[in-house]
Amino acid sequence: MELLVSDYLVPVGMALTVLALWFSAPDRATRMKQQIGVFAALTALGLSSLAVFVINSVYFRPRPFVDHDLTLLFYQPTDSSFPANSVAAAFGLATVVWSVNRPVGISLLLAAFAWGFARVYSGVHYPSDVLAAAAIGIIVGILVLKLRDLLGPIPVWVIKAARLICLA
Amino acid sequence: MSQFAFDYLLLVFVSSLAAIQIAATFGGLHGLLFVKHTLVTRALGGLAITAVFIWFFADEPRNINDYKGGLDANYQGILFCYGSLAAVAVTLAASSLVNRRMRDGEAPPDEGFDALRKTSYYSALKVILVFWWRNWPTRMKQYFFG
Repeated sequence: MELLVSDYLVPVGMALTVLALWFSAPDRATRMKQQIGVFAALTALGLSSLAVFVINSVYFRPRPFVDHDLTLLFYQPTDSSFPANSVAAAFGLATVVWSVNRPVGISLLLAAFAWGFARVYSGVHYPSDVLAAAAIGIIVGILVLKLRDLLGPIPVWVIKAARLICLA
Repeated sequence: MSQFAFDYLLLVFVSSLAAIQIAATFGGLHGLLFVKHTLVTRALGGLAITAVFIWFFADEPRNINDYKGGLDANYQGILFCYGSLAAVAVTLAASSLVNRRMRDGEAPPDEGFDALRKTSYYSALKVILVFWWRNWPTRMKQYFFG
């Protein structure tokens, strides 16, 4: 559990998956879809963190180990417990990836869920922190997917420019 | 740079290198592969990722707060960009060397990754750059705006 809750296992695994999506499509149309998805996923990750930052600036909830006698399996974070920033970012990213590649997206959603569970189990978040974070991540992910249709030409131009030097 | 940050950078670099190799087998990008055999590449890639994660977590305690030597999320993001971009650069350079005999002078200029199915990155880039050097005033607008 100490491994799963780490700041490095799930985030690096998810980031590697997004990196792999850039290279792994078998044909041109799927590649364009997945590469636009990479831009959208990174946007969702950023906007989920921004949403949590805004909520944290108006509401502070102490961590569970502050108010309860717990055996902590993690270091003692000092920022607000609600909502869980890392989980919101993970769900935001996974939601967008799910829209472009179902099997990979489901794997990432499961990883995000497992990470959230591990953070509750380890005593650094309340279940409601993780549930709220998952909701924020999913909502932001869906909004980014709507926005993707409006901002479509920008990532397409970037991908076309990268294609000129065989990088997309 | 702290030892922790360096270790994280190494984790990202090695695992990105392996992830790109595995992904390239799924994308059929033979010009990017270090080893021609698909299953061997996937096995070696999986092994490299597993090994580097085991090394990272077994080497030292990693659950450390950022003000006690750990990495905050922003710094992690920056290091991930450095590590993965370095892995992309090494992949392009090393695969160009390994696959220097893979050449296809007919690769269309807007093929992108598809050119890497049958040619190395260096060969593809050379053909494309020569094409655009000769044709950019007439073709660039058409390429981007249809």
